[in-house]
Amino acid sequence: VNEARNRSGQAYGLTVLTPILDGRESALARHLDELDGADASPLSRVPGTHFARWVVIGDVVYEGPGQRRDHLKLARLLFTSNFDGDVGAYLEAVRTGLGDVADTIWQHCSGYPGSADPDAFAAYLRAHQIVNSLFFAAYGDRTVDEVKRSLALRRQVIEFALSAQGLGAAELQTAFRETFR
Amino acid sequence: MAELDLARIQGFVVRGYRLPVAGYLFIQIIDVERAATWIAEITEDVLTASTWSQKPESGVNIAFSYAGLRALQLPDASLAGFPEEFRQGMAARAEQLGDTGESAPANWQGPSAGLEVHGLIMISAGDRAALGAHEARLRAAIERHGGVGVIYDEVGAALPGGVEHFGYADGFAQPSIEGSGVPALAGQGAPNAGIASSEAAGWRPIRAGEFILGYLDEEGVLPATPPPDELSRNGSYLVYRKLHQDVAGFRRLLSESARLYPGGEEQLAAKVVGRWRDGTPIAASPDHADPAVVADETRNNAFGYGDDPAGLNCPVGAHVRRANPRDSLPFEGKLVNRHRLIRRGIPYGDPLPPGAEDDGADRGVIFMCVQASIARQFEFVQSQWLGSGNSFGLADDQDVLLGAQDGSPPHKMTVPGRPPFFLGPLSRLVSVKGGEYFYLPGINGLHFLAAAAGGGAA
Repeated sequence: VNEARNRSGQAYGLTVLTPILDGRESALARHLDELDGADASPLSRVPGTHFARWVVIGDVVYEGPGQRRDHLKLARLLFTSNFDGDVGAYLEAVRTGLGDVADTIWQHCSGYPGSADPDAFAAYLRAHQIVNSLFFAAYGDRTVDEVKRSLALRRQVIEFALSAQGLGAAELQTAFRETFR
Repeated sequence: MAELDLARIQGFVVRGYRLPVAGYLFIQIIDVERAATWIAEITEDVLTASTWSQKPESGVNIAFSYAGLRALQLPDASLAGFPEEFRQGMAARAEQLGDTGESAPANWQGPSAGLEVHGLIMISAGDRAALGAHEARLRAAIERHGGVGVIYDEVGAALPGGVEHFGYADGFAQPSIEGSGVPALAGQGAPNAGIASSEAAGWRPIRAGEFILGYLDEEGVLPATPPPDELSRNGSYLVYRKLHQDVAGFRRLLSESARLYPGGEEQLAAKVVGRWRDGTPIAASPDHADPAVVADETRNNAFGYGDDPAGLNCPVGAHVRRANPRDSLPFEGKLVNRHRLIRRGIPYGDPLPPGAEDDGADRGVIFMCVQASIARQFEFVQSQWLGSGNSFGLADDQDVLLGAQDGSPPHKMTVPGRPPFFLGPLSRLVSVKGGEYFYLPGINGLHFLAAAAGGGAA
C-alpha cells in the first residue's frame, strides 16, 4: 500500500472494497438502511472519524456517451473513512467501537473472518484496501477532537461576547477570567 | 434576445401590481369535467402581462399545486415531468427549509385536516370594495360550475405608509427580466463586471428563463420542463408562504440591543436589514436615511457590496445582502444570477401600535415568489443564504429575520465594526403559518389544462 497517497496532513483516507456474498446484496442494503444515522450512528463510536460511509455497489454504469450498464458478478461493499492518525490503530478502533455491528455488516461479505481476532479483522480490511488516486482533506492537520473543541470554544466566545458587551474594562477582565480560566 | 410572449404570461410574473389589497382563495377540485369548463372560463378573466393602457381596478391570477394537477388527471408524462420538490409540496420540504419548531407543518393554519389544496386564486385590487366585488363574481362562477370548491381563504392589505410590519419600506429590489420591455434600472438585474454598481450600465436584465419556462436562462439553455410545450411555455413556479411576524419581539430586540449599540436604534435597525426603515440602502448611505435616494428609482437600488467585503457599511449578514448578495460572491455575480427571486408579497393583519405590548394577534406577510426552479431559487435562498452562514463565512449565523433561531443557542448576528457589535441572543422572529408550491401556467398552459383535464385532448 502506497501510504503517501492515503494521507493528507495527519488525516488518512481509507478505501475498502469487499465482495458481497452471492444473494446477500439486498439483505445488506436493508440492514445498512436500518442503522441509525447522525449522532446515533455506530460510526460515532469510532473515535477519530471525520467522515465515513458504507455504500452497496450493485451494477457499474459507464456514464459516457453510449451509456452502458455492466453487471458485476458479485456486488461490492464500499467502506470509506477519513480519520485521524495511524491506520492500524484506527482499524482496531473500528473493531472495538462498532462491536457486533461490524459483524452484522461484513458477515455478508466473502471471506470475512469475524471481529473476534483483531489481527484477522485488520488483515481482512487491509487485504481489500484500495490505494486512493487522490485524497484531499481541507483541514488535514486538525483532528476531530481539535475541531470539536474549537467549535465549542467558538460557541463559548460567542456566548461571552453577547453577555459581556457594554461591560467596563475591569468588569470585562473579571468576566473573561471567570469564563476562560 | 427573445421577446416575452406577454399576452400569454400571467401578469403577476412580470409586474408587481402595486395594488393595495389582495384576496387568496384556496380551491379543491371536486369534479374534473366541471373544473375544466370552469378553468376555461376563468382563463378569460386572468390578468396577463400585456401592457396596460389604464391600471385595472382588480385582477386575478391562478395557480395549481401538484395535487391539483394530479386531481385534474393530466397525462402521466406531464405529471412526471414536474420537478421533485414541486411534486412533494412545501410541507414535505420542511426540514431543509428550517420549517421546524413553531414553523413545523403540524402547527400550520389552513384548510381543515384531510382537505388538500389543489389551486390558488389570487385577486389583487385597488380597494376592499373592488376586491369584494371581484371575489363575489369568482365565487358565484365557482358555485355555478360546481367543479371546484373554495376550502380556505386569506386576505392581505398594504399597511399605512407602505411598510411591512417590522416597519420597513419593502419591495425595492426586483430582478429586471430580459425581453419584458421594462428598461433595467441600476441594481435590478445582474451586475456587469467592471462597471460601478451605482451606474445603470453596471447592470443588465436577468435572462427570462430564470423565471419563465420556455426561455433561455442564465446558463444559456432552455430548462427542462414538463411536456407538452403547450403546458409549460410561459409558465412559472410560485411559492406561497404565510409568515407570522413577532413584531413586539423584534422591537424588543432592537430597543434592548440599542442600549449597547453606539449608533443607536435606527442605525442598528438599518444594519439588521441592510436598508434604513425608509428603504435607503445602507450600502449607499451608511450614516443616515436619505429620502432623496429612496424617491429616485435610479438610485434606491444602485449599489453593490464588492467594495465592502468586510461588511463595514452593510453587514455581510444583513437581510438584503444575504437574500441577494449581488456582486459580493465569486465569479462576478454568476452564481447569484442563478438564485434570484421575483418577490410578490403583501402584509396581512393589523399593525401593532408603536410601543404596544404583544397583543397576540396574527400579523405578518403573505410572502410569494416566482421562479423557474423552486429548488434552485426559493429553497436555495431560504436554506443556504438565509438559513445558514456557510456561503458568507458566517458559520452558524442565520438571517435575523427569516432564520430558524429555535435550535441550539446561542444565535447572533455580527455587525462588523471597530469594535464589532454582536446582536443576540436571537430567537425566532418569523414563523411559518402555512404554504404550498404552485405552478402558475401561462395562458396557453391554462388552455391546455382545460382541454387535457380528465384525460381529454392530450
